[in-house]
Amino acid sequence: MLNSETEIFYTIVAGGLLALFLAAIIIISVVKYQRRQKKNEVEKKQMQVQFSQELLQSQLEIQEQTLKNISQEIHDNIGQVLSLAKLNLNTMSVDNVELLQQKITNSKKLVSKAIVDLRDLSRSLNTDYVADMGLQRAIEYELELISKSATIKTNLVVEGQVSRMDKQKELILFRIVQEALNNIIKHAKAQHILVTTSYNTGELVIVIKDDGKGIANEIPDNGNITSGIGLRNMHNRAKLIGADFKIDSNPGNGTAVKLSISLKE
Amino acid sequence: MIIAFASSLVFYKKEKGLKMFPLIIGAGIVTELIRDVLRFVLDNETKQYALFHFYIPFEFFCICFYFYLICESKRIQLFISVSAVLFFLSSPLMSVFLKTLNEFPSVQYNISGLLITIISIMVLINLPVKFDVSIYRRPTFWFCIAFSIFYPGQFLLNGYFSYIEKNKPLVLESLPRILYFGFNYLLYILITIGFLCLIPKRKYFIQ
Repeated sequence: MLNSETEIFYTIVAGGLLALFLAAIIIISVVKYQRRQKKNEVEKKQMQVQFSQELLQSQLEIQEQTLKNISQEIHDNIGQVLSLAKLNLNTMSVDNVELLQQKITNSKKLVSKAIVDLRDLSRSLNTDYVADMGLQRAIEYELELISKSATIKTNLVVEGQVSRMDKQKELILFRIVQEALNNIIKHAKAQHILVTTSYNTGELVIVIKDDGKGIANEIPDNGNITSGIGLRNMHNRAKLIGADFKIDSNPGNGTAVKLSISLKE
Repeated sequence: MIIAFASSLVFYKKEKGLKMFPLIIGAGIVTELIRDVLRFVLDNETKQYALFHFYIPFEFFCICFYFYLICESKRIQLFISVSAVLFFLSSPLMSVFLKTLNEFPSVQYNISGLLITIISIMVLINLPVKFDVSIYRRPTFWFCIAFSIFYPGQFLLNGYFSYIEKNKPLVLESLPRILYFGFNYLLYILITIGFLCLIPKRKYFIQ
C-alpha cells in the first residue's frame, strides 16, 4: 500500500516537474522571441539608416563623376568642335566661293554637333537623371560619354525586355556600374568594354567585361570581395540592395564584373 | 475537434504548411467515427484499434511535415526528416512484430508523442521571427504548446490510469470523463486558438 502511494506521489511529482519544465520552455521561448524581434527591429532601423547614407553617398558620387565627365566632355569634345568651327570662320575667304561654301557647311555641321552634345550634357546636369531616364538609359549614356572622351571602345548588349525597378535600387546599381567603368578607365588599360544587361525571368544581370590587364591575386575563388576599398564598397552596396556582386579576373585576360539582382520588389 | 477542423478549413490557406491540419484533424475525425461505428456494429472492442496503426504514422508524418515547412533551422529540419523517415519505416514493423493489429499501437503512439514533443519544443524555442507579429498571434506558437502539453500529459495520464486500473479499478469508474478527455479538449482548443490568430486585426477609422 505504501509502495503504491509512493508511486502515485512520484507520478504527481513527475507530472508537476513536467508542467514546470513546459512552463519554463514557454516562458523562455516567449522571451527569446521578443528579444529577437527587438533585435531585428534595431537591425532594420540600422539598415534603413545605412541605406539612406549609402544612397546619399551614391548620389554625391554620381554628381561628382558627372561633373568630371562634363568638364572632360566640354574640354575634349564641345570645346574642340567649337574651336574648329571658329577656325573655319576665321579662315573664310570671299575670294574662293566654293571653299567658302564648304567651310560654311562644315561650320554648320560642327555647331549642330556642339548643340546636340550640349543638349546631352544638359540632361546629365539634372541631379536625378538616373531616376528620370532609368538605369538602362543611364548606363547607355555613361558608355557614350566614355567612348567619346576616352580611347576605349564601348559596346552595350541588352537581352530580354527592359523593365524598371525601385529608383533607389537603380541609383545604387548605376553607381556600382559607374565605379566599375571608372576602375577600367583608371587601372585596366583596356581597349574595349562590353556591358551586357540581361532582363531574364525576374532577374537583372549586368556584366561589365573589359580586355585589360586584369586583377592579380585579389579575388577569392567564389568571386566575393574581401579586400580593396573600392571593390569592397561596390560589394557592400550590392549587398545592401540584395544584389549579388562577383568579379572574375585573370592577369592579362581582363576582368568581368557580374551583378545580379531580383526584379521583384 | 469539429470546431478545430472547421477553423482549419477556413484558415488553411493563410500560412505555409497549414494545409496539413485539415488532413490531420479530418483523418482523426474519420478514424474516431469508424471506430465508434465498428464498436456499435460489431460490438467487439478489439477490432476498433486496427485503424490507429495507420492513423498514428499518418498523423506523425503530417505534423512533421508542417514543422519542417515552418522551421528555418537546418539542424531541426534534419532532425524532423530523420525522425519522420525512421518512424515511418519502423511503425509497420512494430505493428507486425511488437503488437497485433487488434491491439492499440501504444508503443508507436508513445514514440510519436515523444518525438512530436521534442520537435515542438525545438521549433517553439527557435520560432522564426516575424517582424510585426507578436508571438501570441503566431499559430505555430499555439500548436507547439498544444502538442508539447498534449503528448506528455497523455503519457503521464495513461500511466496513471493504467496504474489505477490495475490497483484501484473502482476509483477509475468514479473518475470524471472530463479528466480523461481533458488533454484532448485542451489540444483542440489550443489548435483552434492558433487558427483564430489568423483573423486579421480590425482597423478602426475616425469618421
